[in-house]
Amino acid sequence: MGDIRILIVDDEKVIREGVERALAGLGYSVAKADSGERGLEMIRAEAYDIVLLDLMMPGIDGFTVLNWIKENQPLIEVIVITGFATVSKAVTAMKQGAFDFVGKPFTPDYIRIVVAKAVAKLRLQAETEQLREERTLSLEAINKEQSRLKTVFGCMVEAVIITDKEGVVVHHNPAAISILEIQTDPVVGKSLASSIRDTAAVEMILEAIDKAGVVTREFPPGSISRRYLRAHCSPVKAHGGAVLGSVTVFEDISTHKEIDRMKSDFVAMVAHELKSPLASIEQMIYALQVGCKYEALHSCNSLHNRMIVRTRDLLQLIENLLNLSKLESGTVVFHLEPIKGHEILADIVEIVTPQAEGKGLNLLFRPCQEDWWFNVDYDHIRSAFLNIVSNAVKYTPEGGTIEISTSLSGGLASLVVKDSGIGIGKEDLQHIFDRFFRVKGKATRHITGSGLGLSLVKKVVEAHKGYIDVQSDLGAGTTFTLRFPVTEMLAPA
Amino acid sequence: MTEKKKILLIDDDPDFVEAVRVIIENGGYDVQVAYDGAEGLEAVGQQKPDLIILDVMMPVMNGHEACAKLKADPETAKIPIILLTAVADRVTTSTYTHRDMLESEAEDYMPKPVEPVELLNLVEQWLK
Repeated sequence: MGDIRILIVDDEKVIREGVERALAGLGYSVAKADSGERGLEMIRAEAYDIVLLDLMMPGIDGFTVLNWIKENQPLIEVIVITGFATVSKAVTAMKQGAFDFVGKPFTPDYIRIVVAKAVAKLRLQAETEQLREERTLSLEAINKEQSRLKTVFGCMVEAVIITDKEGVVVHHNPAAISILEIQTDPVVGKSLASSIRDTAAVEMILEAIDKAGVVTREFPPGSISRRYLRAHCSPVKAHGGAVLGSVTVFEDISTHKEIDRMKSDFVAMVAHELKSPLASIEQMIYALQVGCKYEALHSCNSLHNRMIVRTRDLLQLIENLLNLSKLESGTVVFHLEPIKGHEILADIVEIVTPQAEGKGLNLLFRPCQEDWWFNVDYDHIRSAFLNIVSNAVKYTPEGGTIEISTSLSGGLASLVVKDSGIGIGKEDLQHIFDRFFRVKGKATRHITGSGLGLSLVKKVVEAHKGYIDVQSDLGAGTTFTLRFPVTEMLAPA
Repeated sequence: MTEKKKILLIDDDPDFVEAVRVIIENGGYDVQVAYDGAEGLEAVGQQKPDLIILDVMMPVMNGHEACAKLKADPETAKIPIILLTAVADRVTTSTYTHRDMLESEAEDYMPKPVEPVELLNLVEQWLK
């Protein structure tokens, strides 16, 4: 509480100045009003703690001022001053809410004592008020803390089960019902054993209570629920160390387990894909060691050439694997720039032409009338297109036809690569974009590849907001259709 | 001059087949080749070999299936079979494990790639 502000309201100048003198040097700030009207004006305009008020004044008298104060500013303490010193008037004033009264004439000491008493009361009131405020605040804080905990508890993804030391459930959160697939209603108040059919979970809780230590356990699908759960059970101890009960958190780790399994499958698959060609290469080295002593030179050359091809394929496989992994982890930065679609295709046609001609293939390039641009990473898109067209060349027997055409519609550019090749069976077609998937059979026996090319193409196309689609008839040919959004670039004049 | 013994080699990798063919031919045998289990059975039907070298992991019909079919047919049951596999018992995550090898009715097995002298020794041993 700061300085005590005192207002003296009296029509007699002598009294006003007398009181002011009496209170001087005590650290109060003192103001004076010479009438009831003036006093009310000042109280309305500024805050006062104590008003020393003459009861008998012309115009608005002390009682009127007192009533106004008690009605409008009840915190101001009023000490009445009365020249008539009649007990009845003072008593009336006190009944109306005055703190005390001073009779005229008065000694400065008496004024000081009465004011000091009022000040003490004000300070006490302020302290009480402060305490009450503090208490209210801390109660609010407790309420908030409790509701916060309740919210956290309710929002938790993990199942939480709280039991007493007998294993009877005393509390659980909503997630517990769904994660533990509990059918019992209610769960609270019963042994956990009556809500969970798996005995291992109940044993775990009793073990934690028994040992007074944390127990962690995993529950495979089919034990507690259809999910893979990991549970941490911890005993709740009193200050003395006695165990009161347990808190168990069940976490759904099905996804982690699935990712783990996929990872090991993938590693096994990669190992196999690397080992098979290496085994063949080593076998060819053995063959050359023994074979070239007797065999015709032709066979030796052929083995040498095949070893080079297989080694290159193996390097390509590793390269593809690294690219795929980069694309999947999102670490590839695409440098997007507007590229003229037909330019990139013409380039690819040029690259594969010698290969196609070598096989006697009819390679047709039929771009649409309008030029179009798309916003892509040149290198990535080029190798994706090259992959599709090379596949068409690889899987189309001699004398066949490959047609590359484009069209524009609805803001999308379509690129169609149609071959008259060996085609893909229905069974195989649905796996065509799977990693390491290769169509196995008589027709593909002598065609090598990593089985990663189309997985890569799909990733690259999708990273450019494009679509890839495939249609095929076994023995009749395959058609790959790629669609990309075109950019709003007008053909330069 | 005695007639050369005939060996049927079944594996889906043409390069591997070619390499093993060179090795076996240099050992003084006649070699027929097939590229999957079904083709292998067909070849056996046309001309009965004296021994079969059979890869385990193949499309269409794998080596185990082909082996079981050959052993089930009294006509071919006596032909010795050497199973070849790139995985043997070394990769535990593989579907093909040592146990599979032991449970197979094949006379013998070798992990891929096959060392020429070892292969020819094994072939000779089963042709006695």
